Amino acid sequence: MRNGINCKLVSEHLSAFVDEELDFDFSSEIKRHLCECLDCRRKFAKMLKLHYLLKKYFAGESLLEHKAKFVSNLKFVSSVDFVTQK
Amino acid sequence: MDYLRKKDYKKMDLMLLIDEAQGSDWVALEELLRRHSGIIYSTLYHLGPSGQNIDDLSQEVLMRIAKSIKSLKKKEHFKLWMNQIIYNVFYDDLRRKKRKPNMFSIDSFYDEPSEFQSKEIEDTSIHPDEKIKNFELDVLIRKSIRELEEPFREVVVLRELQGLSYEQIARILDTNIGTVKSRIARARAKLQEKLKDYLD
Repeated sequence: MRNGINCKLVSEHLSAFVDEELDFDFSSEIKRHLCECLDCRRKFAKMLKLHYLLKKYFAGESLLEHKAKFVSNLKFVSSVDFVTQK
Repeated sequence: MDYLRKKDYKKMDLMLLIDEAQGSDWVALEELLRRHSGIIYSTLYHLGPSGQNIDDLSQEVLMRIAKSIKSLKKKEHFKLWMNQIIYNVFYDDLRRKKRKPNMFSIDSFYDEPSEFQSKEIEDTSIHPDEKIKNFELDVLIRKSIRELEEPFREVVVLRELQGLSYEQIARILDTNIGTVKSRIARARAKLQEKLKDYLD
């Protein structure tokens, strides 16, 4: 335990820490704790890996292939818009 | 002529594109919709349990964006505004159908159009074993996300797919940042458990 920061607290906020959603001071405290605590560092590495796995998955092209199916209708969408607004 | 103009629009900065679209430039609007159609589709796909007509919902979102683009007051809020439309369309449809949440059929993945599989085969840059591993991982991630309870699934999609901040997610879901933070943490804990073989 250091400056009120302990493993339980770090664990609770690790997800927000990965997302950079914590305020600067608290984030710095967690960084310091991670430098000193191997267990928390392992948890952090796992959290980060999950984050990147999901990012890679969502960035994959497979789902985006679908967009070609309905993008062909976009002209219709935009044309309809301006016809109806005029 | 339109083709040449479109090529320029493809490079256009998003804020400028929105400006043009709001000024009744349909080519700009078309490009704006084209640029976001993939992420709209993907968001709806992951928000909903299998069986939902994602093509129809995507079209509805695009139509609403097209019809109301002029009402967007702050261009820098486009992403948030677009996600509010996605969210509204999705839950309007859900309410209408009174669907049962969190149904997942592993078969549904294999019923997807054949380009899913052919795309995998065409790519020769990855070793076949790795391709199979990636394919299996994709299936597992897809299944894991779909098995999450709705409140967890929606924050994962809005955060990891859309890249929205906690504050933006809270606004879309009409809740507070603390709740978003807690749901994302719990969702990740559940996903970590489901994907543990790939995280060690």
